[in-house]
Amino acid sequence: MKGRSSLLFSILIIAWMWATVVVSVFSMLSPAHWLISFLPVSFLEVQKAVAAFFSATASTSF
Amino acid sequence: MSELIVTFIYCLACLGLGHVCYFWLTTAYGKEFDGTSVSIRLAIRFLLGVLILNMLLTLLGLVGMLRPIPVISLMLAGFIAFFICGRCRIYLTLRSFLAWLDSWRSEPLLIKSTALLVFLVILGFGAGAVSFPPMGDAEAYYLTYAKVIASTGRLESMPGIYRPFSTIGMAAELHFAALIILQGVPAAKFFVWPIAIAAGILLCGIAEQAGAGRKGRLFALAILFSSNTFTNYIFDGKVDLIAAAYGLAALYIVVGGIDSLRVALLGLFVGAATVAKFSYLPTLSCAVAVLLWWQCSEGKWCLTQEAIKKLFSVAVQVAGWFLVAWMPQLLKNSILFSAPLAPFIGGEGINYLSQIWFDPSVTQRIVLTYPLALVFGRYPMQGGGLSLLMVAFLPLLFFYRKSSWKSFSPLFAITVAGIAATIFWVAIRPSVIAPRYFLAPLFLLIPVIAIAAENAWNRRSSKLVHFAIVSTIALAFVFPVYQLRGALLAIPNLLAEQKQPCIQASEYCAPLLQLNLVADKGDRVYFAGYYSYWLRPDLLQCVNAVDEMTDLEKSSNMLDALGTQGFRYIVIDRSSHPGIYRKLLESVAARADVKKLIGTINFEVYELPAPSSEARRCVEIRSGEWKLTPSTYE
Repeated sequence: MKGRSSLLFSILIIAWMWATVVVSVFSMLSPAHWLISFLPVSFLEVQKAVAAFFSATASTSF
Repeated sequence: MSELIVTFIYCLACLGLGHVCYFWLTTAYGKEFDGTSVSIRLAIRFLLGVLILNMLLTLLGLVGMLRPIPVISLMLAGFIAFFICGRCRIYLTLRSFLAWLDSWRSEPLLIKSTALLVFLVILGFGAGAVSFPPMGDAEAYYLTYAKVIASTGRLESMPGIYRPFSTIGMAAELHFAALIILQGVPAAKFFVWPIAIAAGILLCGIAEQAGAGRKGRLFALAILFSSNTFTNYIFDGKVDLIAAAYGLAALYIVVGGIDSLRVALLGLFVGAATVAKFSYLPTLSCAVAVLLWWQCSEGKWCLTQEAIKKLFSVAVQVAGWFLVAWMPQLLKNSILFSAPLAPFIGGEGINYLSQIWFDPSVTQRIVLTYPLALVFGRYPMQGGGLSLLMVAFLPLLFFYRKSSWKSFSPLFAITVAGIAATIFWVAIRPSVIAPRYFLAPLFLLIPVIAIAAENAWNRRSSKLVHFAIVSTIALAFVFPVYQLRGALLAIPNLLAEQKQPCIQASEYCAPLLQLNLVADKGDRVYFAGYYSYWLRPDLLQCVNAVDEMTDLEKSSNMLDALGTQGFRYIVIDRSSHPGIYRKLLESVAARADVKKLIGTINFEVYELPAPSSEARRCVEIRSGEWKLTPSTYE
């Protein structure tokens, strides 16, 4: 019994490790994937963020 | 390959200067570091030398003497110091290294394979550092600035739109300039690789202080070199890793204890790290404060009168040495901007210290998803994240024995310091999700995960668990290795006689190199873009200044205004400067004497008629140094 629960524990840990790898790959390949709810940022937000950051160094208000 | 040789000798010179500084400190305080390994001693001396050499280069630059002979003289002095101080240690160091290599024989095959994989990946990043061209911010500012300094031999504010930004600390730019003078940009970029290795050695040292054995230190190194928030900056030409290395040195020292020698080194490295990256001021200080509290209270975490007195005394000494490390920065800003405390007090332009990157809804999402956002986040400007191993090995925390978690243990203190610094950063800058802004304190979270993996390995004899740990590490390296495939393409180019400079480079490379062939010395370029690195140094020195942009904004006719200011060429990145592009098109339509020279997907380069003699001119005042004359139009 102890051996079985130990094996199950090992399998769960391994499953977690490899699931992390899968999630990481998803986060790189598909930023708007539904699994990674904290990733997607709309293009408009990107533009606003970049514009705000560079507004001091951009040449003019063109 | 001359880049490697020149950088290697430069590193030996840093080591020599570091030896001298360390010798002076140990003589002054009458004690040495005890119980440290050869590699840690080398890393600390090397970083000390990098700091000292940077100070000397700053002084040379401020007096306009950053020329080949003074730079070579400094390097020779450092190399001679290395030879005098280090020659009797070279044999001992080599012997220690061979013994260390031999000791790996007893490790299991999976561990040896993992170590080999980590070693090859580290080598791969070295190849990337020397072969990849500058990218991103390095292409906009850091290496561009170094190129200008190398040409002029003088440390002045950066020409062009980034002038206000040159109030920041210069921990690496002068090293880059010196290496550009000695060999070229590849040598300058390659210099970041030994800095990254020093950071890795110090992280392993911190892990060892926390109780990691050999496997734990190997896993810590694997986590570090599979974190692209660290590895991105080995090969792109930015300067973030110098701050990280200094920060890790400071943290290693404070975890080891506090005596007068350690306090001096702590102050120097905290000062150096905060100059290199201002965001370390709140975060590294927070982590160091937590660790000092732990040290002064002897692990009890209480604030007795004695502990407070000790903490105060240490803080005062640290502050003194901190100021020593800040002297070059204060001097530089006094001379260039008449504002020694710029950009905090005084300086020019917008306060870029107060950064808000995203709107409240996105910021809230970022904060709510910490710490996973540090690993899986792909936000704009984030610049990478921690290794997936930080999350993958989380369940292995169950393998910790309760005895490992005593509150007086270094592991507990290090982890608390790392968490405190991270929480502090989230509290003061919640929208700025950028691990590079607080890398060194963030890496304090690595030892607890690495030791967890080591415990799991040691306590579970199951081959399945061992295989899972090693295979996950190997999978974590897939993306970094994928990033380095470009290095394989770029290395033959580096070795070739006829180099193609735009391999792996941005789209700015080809048009600007074309312009370099066409523009005469003294021609002015109006640069409406961000990444000016590829322009010739003389063209870089006379690009559009901030006040000229203001005049242009007020003018009714853009081309006439550009003519008055003496511009001969206009470079426009349509994607980043659509407003200027529209205004330019309106003016060009009415002028037959304006030629379009280059047109790519996002780029256009126009040639204007030769400016009149009354316009502003760019003149060479001494070899490689160009200055703008005032316009005589009135």
